[in-house]
Amino acid sequence: MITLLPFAMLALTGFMLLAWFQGRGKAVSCADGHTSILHSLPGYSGAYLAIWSVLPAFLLLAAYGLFGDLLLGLQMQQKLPPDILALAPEKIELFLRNAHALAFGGTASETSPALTAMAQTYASHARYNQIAVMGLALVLSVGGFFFARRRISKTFRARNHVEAVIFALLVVCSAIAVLTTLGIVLSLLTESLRFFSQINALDFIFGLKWSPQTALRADQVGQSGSFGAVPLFAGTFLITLIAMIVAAPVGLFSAIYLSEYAKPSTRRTVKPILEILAGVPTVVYGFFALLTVGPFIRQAAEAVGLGAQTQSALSAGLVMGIMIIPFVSSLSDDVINAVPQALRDGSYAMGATQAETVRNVVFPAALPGIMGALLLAVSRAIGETMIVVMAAGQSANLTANPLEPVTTVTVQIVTLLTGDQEFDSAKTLSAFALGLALFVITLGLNIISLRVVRKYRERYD
Amino acid sequence: MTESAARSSTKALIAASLPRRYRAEQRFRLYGRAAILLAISALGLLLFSVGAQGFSAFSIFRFDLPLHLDTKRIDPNNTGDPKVIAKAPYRALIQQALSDAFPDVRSRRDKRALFGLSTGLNVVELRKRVIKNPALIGTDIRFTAPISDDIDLYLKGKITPRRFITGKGDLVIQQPNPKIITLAAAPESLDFLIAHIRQSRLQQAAKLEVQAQKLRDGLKASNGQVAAAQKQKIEQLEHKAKTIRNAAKGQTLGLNKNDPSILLGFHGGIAKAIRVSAGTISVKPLVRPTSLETTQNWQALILDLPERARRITDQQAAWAEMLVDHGYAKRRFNSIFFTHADSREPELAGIAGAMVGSILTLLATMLAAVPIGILAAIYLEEFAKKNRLTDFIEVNINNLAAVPSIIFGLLGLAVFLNTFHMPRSAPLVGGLVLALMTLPVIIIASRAAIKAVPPSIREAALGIGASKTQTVFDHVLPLAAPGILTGTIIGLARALGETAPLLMIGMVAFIADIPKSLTSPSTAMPVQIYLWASSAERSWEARTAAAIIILLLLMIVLNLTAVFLRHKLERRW
Amino acid sequence: MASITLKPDTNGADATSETHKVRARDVNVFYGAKQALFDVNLDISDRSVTSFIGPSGCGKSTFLRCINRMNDTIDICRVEGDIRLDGKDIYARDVDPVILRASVGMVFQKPNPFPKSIYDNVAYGPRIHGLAANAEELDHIVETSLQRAGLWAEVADRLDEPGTGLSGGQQQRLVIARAIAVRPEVILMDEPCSALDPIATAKIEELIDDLRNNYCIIMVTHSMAQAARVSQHTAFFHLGKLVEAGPTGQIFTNPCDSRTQDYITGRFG
Repeated sequence: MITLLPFAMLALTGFMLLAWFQGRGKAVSCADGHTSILHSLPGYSGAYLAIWSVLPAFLLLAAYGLFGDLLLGLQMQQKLPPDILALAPEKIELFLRNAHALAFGGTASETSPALTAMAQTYASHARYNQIAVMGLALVLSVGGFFFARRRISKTFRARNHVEAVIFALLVVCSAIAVLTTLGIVLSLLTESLRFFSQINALDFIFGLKWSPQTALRADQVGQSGSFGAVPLFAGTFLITLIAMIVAAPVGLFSAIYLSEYAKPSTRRTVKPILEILAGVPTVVYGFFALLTVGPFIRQAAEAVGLGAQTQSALSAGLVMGIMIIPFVSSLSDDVINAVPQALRDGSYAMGATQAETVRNVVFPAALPGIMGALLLAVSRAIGETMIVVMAAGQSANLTANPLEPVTTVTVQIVTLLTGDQEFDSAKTLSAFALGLALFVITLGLNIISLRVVRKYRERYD
Repeated sequence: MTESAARSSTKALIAASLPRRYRAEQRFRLYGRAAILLAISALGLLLFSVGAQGFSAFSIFRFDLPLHLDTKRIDPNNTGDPKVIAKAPYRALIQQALSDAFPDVRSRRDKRALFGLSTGLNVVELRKRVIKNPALIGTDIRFTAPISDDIDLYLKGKITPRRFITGKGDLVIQQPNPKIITLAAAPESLDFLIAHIRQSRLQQAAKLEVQAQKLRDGLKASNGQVAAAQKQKIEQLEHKAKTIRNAAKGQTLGLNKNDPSILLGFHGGIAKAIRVSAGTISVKPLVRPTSLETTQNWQALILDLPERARRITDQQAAWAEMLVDHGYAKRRFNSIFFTHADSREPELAGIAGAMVGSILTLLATMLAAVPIGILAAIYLEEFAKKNRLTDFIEVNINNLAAVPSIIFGLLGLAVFLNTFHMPRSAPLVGGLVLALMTLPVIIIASRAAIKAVPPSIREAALGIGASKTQTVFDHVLPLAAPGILTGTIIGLARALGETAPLLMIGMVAFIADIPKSLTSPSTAMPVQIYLWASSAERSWEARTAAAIIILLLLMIVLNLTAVFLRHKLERRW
Repeated sequence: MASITLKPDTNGADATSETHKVRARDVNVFYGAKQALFDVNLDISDRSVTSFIGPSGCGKSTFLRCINRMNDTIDICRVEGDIRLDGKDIYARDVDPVILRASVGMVFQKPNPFPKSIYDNVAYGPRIHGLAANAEELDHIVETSLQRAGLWAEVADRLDEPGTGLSGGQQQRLVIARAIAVRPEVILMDEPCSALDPIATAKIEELIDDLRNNYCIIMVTHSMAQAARVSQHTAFFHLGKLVEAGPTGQIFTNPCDSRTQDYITGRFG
């Protein structure tokens, strides 16, 4: 349905070039070739004309590309035959979806004369909309061209106008970062609210059982599934704990050694190696956990007479810990380097050894910053997905035994949203509720730690 | 005087404390070294395990069989019509080629097993080849499809090590019974085999005994009815262990499915040992030997993993050995892996589809994130006034950089797919999601690069009458370009390795075609790795690791480019 | 004794027979390829204040840092020559910098209390060196050190508060108390008052004069007035060389070298 759009865009590009040359030419001819008497360089006049000829039409087409489907859907709801309108809302939606599929070459789950008729209405409206939008775009384009062309003159401040457009563009681009956050919050909130309209929020937060099966038929009673998220948070916590037990000491000691003891040449070689660890894609860590660490832990546990599975909290936690080491070490390294040399000198001058200086002076001085770094690492561990999806398992065990498989918030989001999904079911929506919880927790940790680190920096700057 | 006494006692105390303190110092230093060593060796182990597992996937055993494209069966009337050619029975032609290689396979069951050496999908390839080049009809061609993945694994020694032992002395055929051949050989030449089987049985028995002992230990803790059932199980285990121990003792050993397999090769045939004693060995032929003369030229092949525990039978192993012996199967570079998209059959699966998908996705990411990121950085660094709103945007960007990637996937699902009805599994959507994720990285890097341009450049440009916009775009931006470029490449490299958000927007589907556009269904390399890693079959492991090697190489190339650019273009003021 | 003497040379420095606490012979210091000190020979008396004066970058701080081997912490720094404390070569192999630094304390230009409580700051040295057998002993050491540094009266009721919360002058006295707590013989002071206001400076100077009775104090200062006020001996450094050293009165009233003359009369510096 948006098939003509690429061609329209191509045509716009061509028209833009044309307008640029036109505008430039007009400016030059206004000045009889003495371009220095113009207020703005001829190129700006060209750009001005090009912007007016293309930008309004482009915005229209972009809006149509994004919202055309929505608009069409709204139109179609007006055109529904009365007998369909009488049906339940989800039936209406199914009907519309099938009609859409029939009209645009998708696969419909059923066919009926009513559907075929509706599909035809669908197709014709789509055509009509498209032609209307194209026409409007053409009018905007040509209109803009002539309007702007008339304004170009010797004294015309083309540069200021063009710069205003550039400025607006800059503002829009910076706003996208904010819009992304807004989009995250809004989409998570709306879907979560729909979830909480079906499931009690308290049951979600405090429930001990997670089995998100929903009823296959409407008349099945007691099959609404249970959405107690405690096992997921417990699993997430367990794995994060294991990861931090690995990453915090190793990362910290690496940072201390690199910043206090290592020769510059060692530092130059070791730091990039640690950074490689940070650059390895998480799916690779997942593979490593699944095929190397997991089996190793299982065999080791069996050798000492413990039952264990290939997928376990321990293997996921260990590997995640390895992943986080460079994160902890590079952040703490920065923090430790920010400790003023005067404090170290003070300690050495008292006759303290290097280790005593680090333990008693440098470390306490860097502690707030290190805490911030560790919090960021925790937030990273909580939000990590692929390692746990591959290595931690899927069963929602409420256990503290690291040798058992556990599941985490991120694993469940992936599980819920990668299989066949029916929209609007509590099962699907629960993924968004989990996402919201994840977002809130990690955001909280990030804000706290960024603030702590910033405060710390200011103290020693 | 008290002062100097106090000083000397202080000195003594300090001197006394020194050994302890220097030991602590050494320990502390050791912890630091150990931490670094641990981190580096974890990386080493990771790379080694991926490399070791992935290396074998870069080669593959392929058939090299003569195959006659019989005119009568493909296009009897010589029409040359592609429709006719397409309908020809290529499966039968391939099966014929296999039958020709092993003429003594008769029974239907055996034949089906034999034909299983070549996957059904090879038919498609052969058909394509003939349709493309009808001149081949009526000629003999070489059938070079990849061999079935299990056989490939077996031939690479990944199922069980293939141990060849050259036979010593004469091998005399005593009873040329067609079902079971009895052979005589010098006793010392069979001793090794007998010892090997005995040892394997003793190990089996020991394992069962350990199992029984464990149950017995557990029994002490429990009681009642459970105990009765457990006791019975323990007795069974112990009885079994005893039987096996006894079976290891005899002079004549009859081999069963729990024993290692011993295959004897002589006179161009392969036979499986079923009974061994000092001096004689009874075998069942798997591939018929061409002659029954006495020979000195024979060898034994020991497969330690018992037939019951592995995915390929002794019969299939024998065929595989024969194919390699006769040059009908050869180890070649696995070009399929680089030219094909995903497939249900491991031997036909490749990463080309995922690679193209990744490239398209990254292209979309780049087109969206790079201009927006740079422009946003310019605004924040050069134009924005220092006020609450700017602060808010800045905090926002910093936080966005630390939001878990899967949240971006949820955003993409809710906004791009469910609200704007963009196509599922499309690189376009994946690219946009990754662009939102990469945006903060690019903005932060670009701001740093712009900030590093000294103010004197701006002042000089403004001083000669350039507007703020001209100053920024004509003077500051070109000078900041190397830094921006480096940051951008590093951001894109991270996007290349990202998996979770792509799962959310359906790029996790099985897609057997190489994607052709930004909107065709596709997957990406990390997702392909995830999909393969989740497959149960052994032969996916090596392919997953090989895909990881390629992904890592791509990322290394990207990062090295960034490092190179930084060194090459870096300017110091 | 607590009064500030403006003519210190009449006040004990004339005891020529006293033994020298620190003796330096042919000291050369290099930072990488760059030489910072050239053939410095100097004797420093015990229980007196010796000032190092000279323009910035003249090597006076570098020489000061040689006396407690603080230059060891700088990788590229190399010290040649012979420096003796009580006749013992401090750069000898068997000398442990830990013990040396415990007996040669140091106070820096900017007060650098550790980010710990006032008590822990002073207790730091005794703790790491294991000087106190129990809590009472440690309390005692902390109290006497703070008293000697003239800070006890001001902080006795808030020992648990962070040392960084004190005023600049108090911080500097806290750092002096910290150094005193390990019973040093020599105290090195690297421009101890340059970051302080005049009132705090006066207090520190008073303290230094007080401490002179028990310690050998060596002080780098930018202020010639301070050198004249506080020290009994003065050494003038210029361009990495020790130009002249002697009783403070003599250096300021009757220098032998024309460069000293120029410097103290303000021709350069």
